[in-house]
Amino acid sequence: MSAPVVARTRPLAWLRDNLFSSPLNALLTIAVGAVVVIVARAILGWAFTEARWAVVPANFRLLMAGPYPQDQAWRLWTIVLAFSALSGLQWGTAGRMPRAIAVLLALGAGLALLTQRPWPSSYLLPLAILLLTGAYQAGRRRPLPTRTLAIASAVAVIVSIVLLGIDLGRGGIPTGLWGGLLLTMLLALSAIVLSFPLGVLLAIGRTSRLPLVSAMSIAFIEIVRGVPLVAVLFMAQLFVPLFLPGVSIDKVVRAVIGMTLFASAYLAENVRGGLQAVGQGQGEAARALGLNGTHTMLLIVLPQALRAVIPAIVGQFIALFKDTSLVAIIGLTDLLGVANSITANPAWLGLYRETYIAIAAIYFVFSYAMSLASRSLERRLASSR
Amino acid sequence: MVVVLGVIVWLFSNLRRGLEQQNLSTSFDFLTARAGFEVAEGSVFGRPYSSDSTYLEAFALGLFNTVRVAVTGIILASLLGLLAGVARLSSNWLVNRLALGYVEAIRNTPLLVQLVFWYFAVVLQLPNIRQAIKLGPDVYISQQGLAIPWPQPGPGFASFVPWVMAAIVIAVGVWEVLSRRRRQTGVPNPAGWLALLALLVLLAAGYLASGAPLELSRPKLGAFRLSGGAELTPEFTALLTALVVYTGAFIAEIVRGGIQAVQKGQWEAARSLGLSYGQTLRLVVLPQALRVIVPPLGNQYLNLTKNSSLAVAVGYPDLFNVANTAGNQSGNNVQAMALILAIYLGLSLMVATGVNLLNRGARLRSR
Repeated sequence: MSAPVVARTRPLAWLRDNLFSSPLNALLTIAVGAVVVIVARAILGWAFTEARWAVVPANFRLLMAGPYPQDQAWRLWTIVLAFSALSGLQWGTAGRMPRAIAVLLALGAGLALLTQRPWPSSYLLPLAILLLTGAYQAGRRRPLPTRTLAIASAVAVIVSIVLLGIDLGRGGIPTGLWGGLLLTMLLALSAIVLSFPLGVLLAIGRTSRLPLVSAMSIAFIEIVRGVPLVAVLFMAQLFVPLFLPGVSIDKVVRAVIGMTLFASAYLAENVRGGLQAVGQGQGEAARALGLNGTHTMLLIVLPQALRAVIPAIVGQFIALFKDTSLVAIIGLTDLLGVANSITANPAWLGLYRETYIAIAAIYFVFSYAMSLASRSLERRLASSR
Repeated sequence: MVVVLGVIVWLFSNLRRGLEQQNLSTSFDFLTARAGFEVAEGSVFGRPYSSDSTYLEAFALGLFNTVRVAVTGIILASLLGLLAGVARLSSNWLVNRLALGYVEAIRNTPLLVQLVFWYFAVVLQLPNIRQAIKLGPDVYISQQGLAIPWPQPGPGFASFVPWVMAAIVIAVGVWEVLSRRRRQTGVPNPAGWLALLALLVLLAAGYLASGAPLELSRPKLGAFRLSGGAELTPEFTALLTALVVYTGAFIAEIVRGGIQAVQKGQWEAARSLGLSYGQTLRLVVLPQALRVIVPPLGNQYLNLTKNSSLAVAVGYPDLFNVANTAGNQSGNNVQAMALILAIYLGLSLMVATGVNLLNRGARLRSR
């Protein structure tokens, strides 16, 4: 087959086809265009003349890591570099990097080089991006087995958490000092990882034939799904110490517990969808081959069910990443919490627009990148069937 | 199984001991006690709330405020979502891209960030009341929120109520009788139009007969405040805007997916049968699209209702905010949380029931 013919239209023809195809369409274009021009002029005018963007670079460290001690920043950079290399490898193995992400990376490197800052971020950030692209190329040349990558990621996550908290010879860095984007990421990651076993158990429990098990699973899932996350977070703050007396549990861990319970109920529903999608014959065939109930579930049904719901789980992770912002309400200094404290700082008083637009942009970059990745994952899963 | 039960029993015995140790009660008696805190806005069925009211009344007020923002939000978000969803399918490049930008920007940022942005960076930065911006006839927006005209019961209101009820009963009756006849005989008749006509005629007759039962109260710009009309506080305005804009983006994607799920052949077949564009849309495409749209739409309505609890971040006295204050103040956090749980579950159940009813109308009828 020959390559598809790509229609190359002249700009004028493009305009006619896409903007002025009928009188009504032309009218619509002019009306909407006028509104867009007016609004864009107002916004751009504000952004380039009135806005005091200095608040963002001046508080960059705070936004990224919160009150994390500055002399310990090497820990963060080690983690950032390790994860850049890992995700580059992963991307290279998985397939093409979406163009939008490549553009974003280049932009990020350029911005980091442009900012005149004392040493770490001005050259370590471009280094991280360089590492990512290098690993991406390496991964494309020689793809690594998926299992190796998965194990490497899991090890990296555990090592990072240990590296963040434990300080040899001293008391360690308490979680109260973890903040900013670092805390946002950690909350989202730990909630999704910890909720996974619980969610799978709840999903299996819900489809169980034992009435007590299924009733308890259904009650838990439906109660949690019927209540807003803010309420769950407040309840975790209040009840966790009451349920576990004698153990002192700090606020971050309580928030993780709340988010994990919340996420597990939604995850259970996703997994249940996957369980239902596995044909009944699969289970019956496994039983006929002499596997017992546990083995049938673990070796035959669950792998197929989980594979079917990977896109849904990725979508849930993106939602969870955005939902971590709610911990600002219970007083943690995540990305939003840091932004709130910056706008309350007398030096930057009233710079609400600049600060909130900046953190919205950070949230956007991450969740948009994740949704692009999940779309390409979905295509890959669909084509490998 | 035994282990799980054991852990649950252990946790609850811990809870009981913990409650006893901290001297927290678990009785609901506090609900009838004097609340002693102010709630910024709202009233339940015209009963004013003061700090002398009981906790129960405070909860009712919070529930009322939640329902108020959720219902308004659901209606407006549906309209915005429908508009943006149709715009996403437009052949006009500009309209299409604009809708895409809106959907992607909103869906990829957290609702709470959008909410604090609307509140601190938009509504509170507006000019003060004296320089209120006029958005349209009798609509003003300022730092103190949004002022809109609002109907108020006039002198003849009491005699107008029976007319309204009669009009509704008769219109439903007309619709039932005519559509039953249509089903039995197969002869088409304009049942919907006739019912609407009956409703409007009776309402107009009642309005004239009872002599100005409703008066439109318009906001007037005074020196320090607006008077008349309905005033929406800055907190309500920001919360409503955030919820509508956020949920609207999700609904837009649902609407787009629903319309795209109807195959092109359906359009072509309907048009070749001689149906007009409007008839095709109304009789062929929309019923099929609705089948796909309604279930996820119901989820969005549920989400909006639950998300209204973010009000606590801007100080709008919704159910969660009021209950939390009440619990903290009276030291009855445990009961307050239990009430929050029960009421939100009830609300979710109510929205779900409503959506199920809608779904029954939209689902595939196989004969």
